[in-house]
Amino acid sequence: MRGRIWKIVALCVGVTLVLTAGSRLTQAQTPRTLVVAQGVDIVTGDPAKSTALGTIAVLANIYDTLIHRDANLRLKPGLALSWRAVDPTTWEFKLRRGVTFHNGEHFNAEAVKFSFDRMLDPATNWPGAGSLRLIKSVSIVDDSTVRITVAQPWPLLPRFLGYYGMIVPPGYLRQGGPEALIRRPVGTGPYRFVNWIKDDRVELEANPAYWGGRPKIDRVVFRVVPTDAPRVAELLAGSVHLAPLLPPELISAVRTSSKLTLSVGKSLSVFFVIYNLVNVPKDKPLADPRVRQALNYAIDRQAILHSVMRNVGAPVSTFCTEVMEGCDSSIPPFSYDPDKARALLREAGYPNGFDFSISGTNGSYPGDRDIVLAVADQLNRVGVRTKVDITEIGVQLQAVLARQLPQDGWFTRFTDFFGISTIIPLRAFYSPGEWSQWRPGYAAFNELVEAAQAAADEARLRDISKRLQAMYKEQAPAITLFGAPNASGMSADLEYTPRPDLQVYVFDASWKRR
Amino acid sequence: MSRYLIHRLALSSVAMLGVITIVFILLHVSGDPASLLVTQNATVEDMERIRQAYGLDRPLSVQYARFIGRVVRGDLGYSYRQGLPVTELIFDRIGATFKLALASLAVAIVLGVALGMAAAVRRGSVVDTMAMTAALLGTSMPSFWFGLLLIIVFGVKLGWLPVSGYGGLENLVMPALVLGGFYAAQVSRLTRTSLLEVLAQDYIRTGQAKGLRPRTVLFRHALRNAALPVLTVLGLSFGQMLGGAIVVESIFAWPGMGRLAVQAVLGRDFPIVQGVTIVGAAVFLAVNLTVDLIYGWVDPRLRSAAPGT
Repeated sequence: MRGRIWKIVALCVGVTLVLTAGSRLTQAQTPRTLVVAQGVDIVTGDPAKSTALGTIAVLANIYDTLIHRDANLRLKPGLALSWRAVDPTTWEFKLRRGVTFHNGEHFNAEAVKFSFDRMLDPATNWPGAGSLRLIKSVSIVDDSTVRITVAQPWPLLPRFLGYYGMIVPPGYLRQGGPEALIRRPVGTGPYRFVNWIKDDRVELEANPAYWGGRPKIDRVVFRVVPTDAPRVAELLAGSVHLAPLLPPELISAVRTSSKLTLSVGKSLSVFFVIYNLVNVPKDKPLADPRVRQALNYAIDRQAILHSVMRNVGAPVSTFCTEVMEGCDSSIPPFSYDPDKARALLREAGYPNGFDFSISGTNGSYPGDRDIVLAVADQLNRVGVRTKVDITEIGVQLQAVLARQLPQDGWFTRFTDFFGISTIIPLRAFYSPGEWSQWRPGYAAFNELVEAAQAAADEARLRDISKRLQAMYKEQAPAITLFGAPNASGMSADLEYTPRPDLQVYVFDASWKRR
Repeated sequence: MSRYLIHRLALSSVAMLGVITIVFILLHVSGDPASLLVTQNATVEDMERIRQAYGLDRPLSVQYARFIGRVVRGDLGYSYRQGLPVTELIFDRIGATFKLALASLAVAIVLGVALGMAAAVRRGSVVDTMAMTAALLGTSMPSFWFGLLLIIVFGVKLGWLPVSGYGGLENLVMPALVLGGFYAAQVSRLTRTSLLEVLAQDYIRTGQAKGLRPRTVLFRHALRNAALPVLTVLGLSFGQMLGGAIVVESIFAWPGMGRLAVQAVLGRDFPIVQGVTIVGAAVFLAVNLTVDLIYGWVDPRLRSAAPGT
């Protein structure tokens, strides 16, 4: 018997060793390899198959868009050297010449037309197609000029193309079939694809022929470390150099380490408790804008940022953050004024408060459960008796979409990666919009949101945005909280600032001289 | 024996169909995958398009019939999110899963049997108390806590082992200890009980009386007979380990089936959830069948009885 037990053990160990031998080869890393740890793996190597954050963060290193954005989201030339509106519905892009894809294929106008046609073809099922639905067609003028025709005047097109629209090689796809890019991405970007072990790592190497110059960091490994605490442990052990999107509870571990630095970027996400105003009867407290404002005055945002978010993030005045185009920073946030909150409640006829409930989630957004509990506690202090229901996010979103949320408030986060201040109101507060809980809503607000979408130029857009923000504060369709945290932990010898759009663009990173 | 095998295989197929059906129904009543495939930036048209593309707009009975038809042909479908065949996605992870499961099984056997034997032979002594305390700790320590503890001590403070990740033997030590340690605790308790029972039998006393060396009595006669229930538990444990050690895989960033399954459940990626369930159930049933066959190897009495069953 003993012999047989040992045989089983020996078999287990033997097979393990054999299986291990192959994977050891991928472990070799030079000291100059940058190791980034994300919580999720890329979903696909094909940019026309996903809009997932963790995927775009990696693919932005492999593929280029026509227009690039710097770390403050200012537009700059990408694969297009310049762009202009020929008429209100036609945009012309002059393309960079002499650029090649990583497989040697030439980049030209045909690649641009092919990429856009493919992205917008319903058969491709690109989840981002809705955002570019105003694009009617892409036509080739000559080898280095394309024109994009849009269905209505769309001055914001370049801003959308600063985030969406990665250009893919047509020849490679024709030869390798429609699934070729999923497994082996090929772009024109600063890094070339080397290897992908699913749920473990994506390895990239610098593209020496990159049109923007050779990247300063030679090799990059994007590792997948799904649990937060080991991700920070990897940083502390020195085996990972950059961990984006740290959860608030682990920020202090990074702050107190002498080997690490905490780098905080600007945010394009806003936390709200959106009021459930679906056909709210006139005699209910939430029907009165004074009540909706009162709850905003009852919240001490700085206290929540301090205790829950470890001082990362800043209160916002309305639906946008300062880095978004057209967001008016002169509008002050709701002050923390419990006396004013009580006075407004009295004025509205609720001197003894009322019962209020919030639907929250746990683990879907950084700090989500703790934020909601803190909000509830602060509302209780001004007499609004608040109950919190924590729900699985799928169940919550389904109720929201069906406009059957049982609670009075929906704790959520809205993000606009295009960086345009009028997009969150369109998604979250425009009454006909799918996520809106403000129904029938406020006609003047809806009209302004529509006007923003049709604004003829950016100056007009800024003006509309300003009016929208003033109206939002006065009508208060939500308890507005603060921007979502965008903090990265990194080795002290790494130079990098987290981007607001959360792309981990390694081209901007470098090692500090020792 | 072959009739027995056919009977077992037929039973297994019924069990598989049951598993598939339950998973299908539970998944489809638990939420709309289209609303999670897209973000809050998506429009209703985007979601409708996705529903149509994946046939989610069809009646449930049609979706079910199509699904069963494909499974019979060995086609587990395409992942909603990744656009790749489910069989490919599972195959990519099966190596990592087997590696971790085998290493953990080795830990469970070595630690579990050794502790159990020591406790049984020295019953009532300090060794027994210590071994059983270790077993109690092993069963009651949550694996995420034990895992994080190992990471802090051996990964961060001492720097002896990599904190997490997939790779060489050094990457395997901590996850195998955590996963195998949990099962070792159960195995040791069972080995102890089973061995004590056998040691009280008449034939053991006969062996001792005729002057056999204690080692021979213990290993040749006692342990061999005590091993049957232990084998059953080891088989079940191995099946569970292969089905996906979700917590251990997540803590140690191990790219196995468990994580694939969890991500798929959270993202309502139905084809992957169904595929992982089918493969998991098949592996579990196969392991159990193998354990039954190993019985015969360990116990000649069962071997001689086999042809008639």
